[in-house]
Amino acid sequence: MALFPAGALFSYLAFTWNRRHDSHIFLLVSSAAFALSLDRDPFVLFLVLFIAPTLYRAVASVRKTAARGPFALFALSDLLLVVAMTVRYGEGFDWSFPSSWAAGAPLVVIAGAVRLLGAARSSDAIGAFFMWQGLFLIGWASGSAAPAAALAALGLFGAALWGRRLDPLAAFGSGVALAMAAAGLPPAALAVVGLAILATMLGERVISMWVILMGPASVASSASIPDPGPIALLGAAAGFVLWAWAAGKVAVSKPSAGGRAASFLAAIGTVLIFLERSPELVLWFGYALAIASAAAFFLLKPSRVALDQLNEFISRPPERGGFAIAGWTAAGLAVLLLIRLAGLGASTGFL
Amino acid sequence: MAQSLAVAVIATAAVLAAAAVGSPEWGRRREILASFRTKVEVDEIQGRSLMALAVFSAAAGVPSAIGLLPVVVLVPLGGLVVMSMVRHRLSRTSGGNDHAWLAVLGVCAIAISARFQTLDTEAILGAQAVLGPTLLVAPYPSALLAGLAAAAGFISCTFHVATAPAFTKDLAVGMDPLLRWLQTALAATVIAASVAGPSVAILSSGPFDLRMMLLVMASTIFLLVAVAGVSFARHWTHRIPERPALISCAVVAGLCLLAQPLT
Repeated sequence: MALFPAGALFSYLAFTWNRRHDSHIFLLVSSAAFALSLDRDPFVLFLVLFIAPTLYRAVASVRKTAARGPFALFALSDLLLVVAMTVRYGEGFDWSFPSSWAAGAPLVVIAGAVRLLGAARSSDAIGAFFMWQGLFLIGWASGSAAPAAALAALGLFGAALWGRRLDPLAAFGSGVALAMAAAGLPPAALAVVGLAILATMLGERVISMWVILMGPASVASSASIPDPGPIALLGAAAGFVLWAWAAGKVAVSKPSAGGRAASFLAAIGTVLIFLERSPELVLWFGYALAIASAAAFFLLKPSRVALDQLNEFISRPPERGGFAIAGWTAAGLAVLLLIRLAGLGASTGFL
Repeated sequence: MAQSLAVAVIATAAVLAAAAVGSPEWGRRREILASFRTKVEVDEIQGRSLMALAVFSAAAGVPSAIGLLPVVVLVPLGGLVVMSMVRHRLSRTSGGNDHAWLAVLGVCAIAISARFQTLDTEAILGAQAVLGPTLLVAPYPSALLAGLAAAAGFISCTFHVATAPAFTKDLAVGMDPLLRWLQTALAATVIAASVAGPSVAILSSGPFDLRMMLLVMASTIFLLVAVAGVSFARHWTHRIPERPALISCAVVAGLCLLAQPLT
């Protein structure tokens, strides 16, 4: 779960590196509050740390008459989270969601999905921060609420297709993340999709698009429906139809530079997930990749126009989201882990 | 694994060849080969990687459709979506009705799988090896619906490869036919393999059996004829009004999803 605050830290560095940013302090403090909120007991403390950034930012956005739509969604997500936690508290709160439909877990998943929708609407540094929070909520509760995650995934595919004033690729990626959570993939898989969505927010649209499109392949290769009834089959058919349509829409978006480190890391993460889930599948993909590379190399060549574009692309100055930032994020993650270990040591009397 | 890889290479080459031989472009194959001998020029900065993705989808999709890869039927269908997007990215067009046909094709494939109550291609082909091809196994109303789904799927395959994006002159000579062949090979294999088994994949896993060998030969011939037939049918597909055909196939596919499962 520490991957999600690390992702928020990575987003903060990627957006604010080498440039002045209006929300510099807000993003730094919010990322720290997000990291501290994990596993915090009593749950009221968790809620305060988790939703304080939304409340602060919502008030600021009302004052400055900034875009209010995304913040209305973040506030709605917070409301759902508070209701879910209250329901949960009535039954005795703990940090593990046992498999129980009525225990507030579906509400937490829906809260996460609404946060992702808001992030797709804002598609900036603040949106990226809330996106990581949304992914955390989904990764946390989806084990107990897979049907809610599947329904929310369909909703986000629909939003990518018909939604206005939002980034279709980010919404589509959010739907993929929810589908992965519904199929029982680990939180690391969600973090990989989060990196790809972050890359799209930073401007990279090629590698991140293929990473997001490979997400359903990992779902399909690992999901098993042992005895699918008509409802499950209709759901699978509806999911495929929406996915195919939305994929067609996001594929025609123009490629641009930016966020290459995030997209490369997401691509590496995808390979690792496949390797962990099914090594045989990785061998098959390696075979297909060898044939595909040979065909592309021997049958095609870039034209003069493409070569000029390539030269221009290579000669650009380093853009946001470079590998130095990834290194700093790794260092930040190490510090976070050390703080948590120190806290654990102090609480158990080990230190 | 090595045996499965060898079967995969031969099977992919065979269905690609069937798609090429059945297609209207077979008459000018020398021109197409000549354009690839000198390498086709692409203006797109990502041209090579896009082409690689299309070939990747076919190279991974065909073995998974015939049951060599342990995946669900949605994986080769996803490969088809990716291939379609590559076509439109290279031609810089939006795709038109292509996605609608892909969706109908997907629902048809799921409707056929519904008979066996699983989306797992290995399980479907394994059941076919024991029971017989999808269309011949009782209960008969369900077999009829599966047959209708297969017919709708084959029709949508032909529309899918018939409606081509407008390529530039250079790409139209070499790239367009190759992408069409790849699409036909994959789309028709997905439907044909789930209709008539046992697939060739079963030979790489079990001991030699003459009866099974004959069944595999029959299903392989059906598969190759189906792929060539879909490729050939593009000649007259343009005469059919597209929208009513799309709606009809969608309705058929939707009804077939409710087919009585094989018990």
